[in-house]
Amino acid sequence: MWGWIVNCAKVRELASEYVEGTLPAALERAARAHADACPACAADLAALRALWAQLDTLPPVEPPPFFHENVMAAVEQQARRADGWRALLPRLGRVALGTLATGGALAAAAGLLLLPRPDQTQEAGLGRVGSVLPGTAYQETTAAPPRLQIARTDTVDADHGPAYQFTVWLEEAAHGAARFDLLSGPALARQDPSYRFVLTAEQPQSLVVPFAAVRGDVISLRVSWTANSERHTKYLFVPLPADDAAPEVEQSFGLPLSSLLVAAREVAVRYRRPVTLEDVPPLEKVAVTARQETATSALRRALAGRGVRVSLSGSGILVEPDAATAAAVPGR
Amino acid sequence: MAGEEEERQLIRRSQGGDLAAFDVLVRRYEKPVYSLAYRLAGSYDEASDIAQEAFVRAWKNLKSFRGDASFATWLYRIVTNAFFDTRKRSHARPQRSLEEVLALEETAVTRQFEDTGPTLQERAEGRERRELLERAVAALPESQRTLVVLYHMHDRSYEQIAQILSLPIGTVKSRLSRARLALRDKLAPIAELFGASESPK
Repeated sequence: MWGWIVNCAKVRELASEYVEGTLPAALERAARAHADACPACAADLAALRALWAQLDTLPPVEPPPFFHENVMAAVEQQARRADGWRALLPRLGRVALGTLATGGALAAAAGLLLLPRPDQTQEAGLGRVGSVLPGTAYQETTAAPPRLQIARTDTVDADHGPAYQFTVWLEEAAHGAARFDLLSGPALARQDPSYRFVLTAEQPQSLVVPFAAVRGDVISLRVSWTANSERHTKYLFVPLPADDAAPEVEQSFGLPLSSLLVAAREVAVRYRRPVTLEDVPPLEKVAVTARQETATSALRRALAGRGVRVSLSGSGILVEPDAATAAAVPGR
Repeated sequence: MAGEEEERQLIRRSQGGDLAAFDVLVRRYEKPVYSLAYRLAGSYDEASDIAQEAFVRAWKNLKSFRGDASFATWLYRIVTNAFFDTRKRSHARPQRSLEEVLALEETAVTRQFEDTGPTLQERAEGRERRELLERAVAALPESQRTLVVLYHMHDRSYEQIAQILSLPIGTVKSRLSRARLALRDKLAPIAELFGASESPK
């Protein structure tokens, strides 16, 4: 043993600070001198140093699928409970908010001029609130529920060739957020196959999905969005143009899908019609078999009596909860 | 910092009841919050409950956030409190031994390490090392584990940990020091895996 300040017990006591390098110089010198002469303490300190380095490299843990959705559903439930009294107030009409649009955001929007734009936000008697700090101005009470609109156009991605451009904007709400999950095909530009947008009423956002980046013959997107304390989910199944599609390629999905999603995708592929599911609960045991009928009637037949409505919308098929029979569907 | 200013705005909007803004905050912090909950609780199911509870509490108490500490520190404090509360509720649950953790968490622990390490050999060694380390951390007593997780896996400083846990800095330091020694002792039989025989880095 060496030195009178530091023995083996003292080294143990000081080990953490020693490895960290935060010991006063004199103590550190004494500890080092002891370790130089004491192989057991030297080994202990080396082990601690190695452990320290390893501890710092443990990777973070990924939350499970739908964690975010579950958290926000719980938060919204909480918010609704706390704000229950608001429903008793007379409707004040819409208060439009100033957006957070900046020069950069305007530049980003310039590429979207050819796309359908939402109507200008209408102003109610209270007039436009000009604040750009929504925290101070947020007091929306809208007569109509918020809507998320999605338009699709053909385009060409500079790096990856032909592509669909999905443009998304809000109606009947001043602020919101949307998340796009590309369920089929690898991520596009980034590692993360999901895309998040903060939405404002006047600021469409867009996502370009090149065909080359998609495996299979259909683009499957899940769109989760929230506005005015409401939460919705849409699934889009968009067949690729026949010429560019790789036929009969098995599609791989990144998330477990309920049978309704599988069925909707099947219809999109088989009939080459886009299918949109809007806020439809997952239904088990849905299968669509091809007969001599249209895609719409096939889906109607498969979904009869399940509390959903199947209708034609634009060039595609829309499946949404049917208010008349929705009460019969469990979980809604 | 543009990011900080943006965060301040998101917090202000959330405090005013804007769920869309809070959605963005949740997105920003869900990974560290979930990670912390998982490292503290040691199981995915419990981690989901704790992390979700933490975000709900954060929403409820957002008005009390004044920006004295960083938002992350404030949030971490809520997570650790939620964790301690679930522990109190299931008071009868005994502390798990290392062997139990080994047996129970085999699949849970291996799930996270699928794409690490360049060569097969290195990958296997790195994985083994990490798994052993994770198990050893999971087997620490709660009060020590919390500190190790916050300091080493979530890069919190002594001051921040003191704020998160409402402990004096001195206590944080001495408890952490004891925790590291306990870990080292647990791992001593397999020290060569950790390169302890090499010269210090």
